[in-house]
Amino acid sequence: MIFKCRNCGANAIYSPEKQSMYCPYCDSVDCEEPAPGEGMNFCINCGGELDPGDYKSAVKCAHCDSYTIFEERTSGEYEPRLIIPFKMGKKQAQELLKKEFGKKPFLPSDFLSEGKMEKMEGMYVPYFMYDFDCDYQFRGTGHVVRKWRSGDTEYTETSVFRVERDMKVGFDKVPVDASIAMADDIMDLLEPFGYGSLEPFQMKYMSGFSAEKYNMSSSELEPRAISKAKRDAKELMDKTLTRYTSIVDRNDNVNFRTENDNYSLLPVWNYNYTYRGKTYLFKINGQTGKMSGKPPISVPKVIAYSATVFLGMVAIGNLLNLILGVL
Amino acid sequence: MKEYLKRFWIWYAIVAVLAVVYAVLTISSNNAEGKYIRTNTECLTEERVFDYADKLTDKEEQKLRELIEIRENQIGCDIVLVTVNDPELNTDGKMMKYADYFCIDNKLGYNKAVGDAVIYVDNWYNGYVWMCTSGKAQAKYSSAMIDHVIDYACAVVNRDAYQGYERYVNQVYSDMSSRLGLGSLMLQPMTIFIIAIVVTGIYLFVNLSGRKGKKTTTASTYVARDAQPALHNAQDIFVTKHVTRRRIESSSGGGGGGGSHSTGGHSFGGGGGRH
Repeated sequence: MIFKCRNCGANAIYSPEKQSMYCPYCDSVDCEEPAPGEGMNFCINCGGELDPGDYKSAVKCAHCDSYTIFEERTSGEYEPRLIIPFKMGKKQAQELLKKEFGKKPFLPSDFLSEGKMEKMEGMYVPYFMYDFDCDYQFRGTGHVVRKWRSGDTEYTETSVFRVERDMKVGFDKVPVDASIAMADDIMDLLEPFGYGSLEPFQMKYMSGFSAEKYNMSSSELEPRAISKAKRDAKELMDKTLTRYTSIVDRNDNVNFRTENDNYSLLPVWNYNYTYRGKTYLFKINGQTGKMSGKPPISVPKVIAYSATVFLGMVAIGNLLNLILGVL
Repeated sequence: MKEYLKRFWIWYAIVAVLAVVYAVLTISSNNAEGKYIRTNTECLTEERVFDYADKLTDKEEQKLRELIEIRENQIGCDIVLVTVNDPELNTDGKMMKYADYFCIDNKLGYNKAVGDAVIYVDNWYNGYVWMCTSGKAQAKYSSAMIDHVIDYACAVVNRDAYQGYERYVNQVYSDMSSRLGLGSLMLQPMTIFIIAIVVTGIYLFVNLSGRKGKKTTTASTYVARDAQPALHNAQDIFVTKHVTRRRIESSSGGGGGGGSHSTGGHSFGGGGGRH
């Protein structure tokens, strides 16, 4: 399906700046009406061929730039429970990228060019967000070390304690992306999303962006979510052990009970930049603007700039020497 | 190119400003030179290069004499080099006395006997070096400046004696012709090279160490508001205690100093070193 403008018939899209549906052709606001489609292979607007791939749930038509949403991949078992709509538009995301990398000297010259950044694409990434109840049992031996001096002698007193802790803690919406194409380490760095903006899923928010349905099931991703929550639980437990100089014979027994898996769509801006045959991925949290991705390095710039710094320092040093000699 | 200039114009500006400053200072310094006329008529020698240790070739000695003649007239101060091979001169004190009496015995000095002069004595038997200063050279040279001259010459003298002594003559010229006596602050070429390498390394490290992003979640980011961490059991049961003791060793140390002195009724400055 696509969302059409009630006034002019063009494709109405969700505008992060206006926080409402918007027609870019006639500037109407909240003018959308759904136009159901037939299958996933052709654009409803122009009849052009679409590429739904294995997981895409919303795509941009390469022929008419309309955004088609596949009902087959957004309903039934694939219907997300929650969504955070884009809060940040493309221009704002581009500005953030410029601000982050604009002063980096070794970037290829066209990295921040308008032409390249125009290819930046907003995408709703599928996530499972797990609610856990956690029971944490800790047993260990704690050492408290105290040192003092008397005359020319240093004394070290070590007190030994048997330490027991039983903690209960609940975790709310621990996110794990359910897209194979998204690198986990890069996606983790986009967190946290502001859950205050979570809304019940509405299809209209997808218009204007690409999207995927989950690529992996909740049960496949649950261990990764537990691992993240376990790391946090351990840190919380360690906060109760700060009086000890060291802990030995540590025994952590942690049990998680999954309460919910909350299939959701979260907003991400993607910027894929290819340099010398290698593609560099940049992600920007479409809600908070948090960014992740490592930029490419232009070797000729590294050589030219560092040679300038080196020769500049040698020249300045020698000139200062000459001046000091005269003074 | 535009981006390159935008980033590095300040570097070029600094180099250009320093070059202009140096040019102005050099021109004004050259204008002030050449005003000296030797007035010491009692001096017993016209020789300035006493190569008793035979470390220089005849040609090198001659080149050094010519250089010294030019420099002496530019700064109005005798510049003398003495190389020896003497096992008896094995302390700074003996080297100092030797240099002082060399000046007194030969009545060295540009303006008068035992007047404005610098005498550099290099003992190749044991590497001891002494630089004696007299008259206005004594007034000009601080201990740090003397150390700088000796270090600067000794850095190369074992490899190339002529180059080491040429450095001595030119450094004395540079120091004596300078206005504020900042010559001792000059850096060795190797030091400049190392600083440039370090700065370039830091520049590369800072600009190449781009991270993927920054982790900003904490342990409590995903803790449920209605299920905060609750400790149902928190026991710290004392088991035992033990005390160890260690004797603390103490240490002490010390240093030395230097200054001007009087020899044969004349006042001299000076300082020594080894190569």
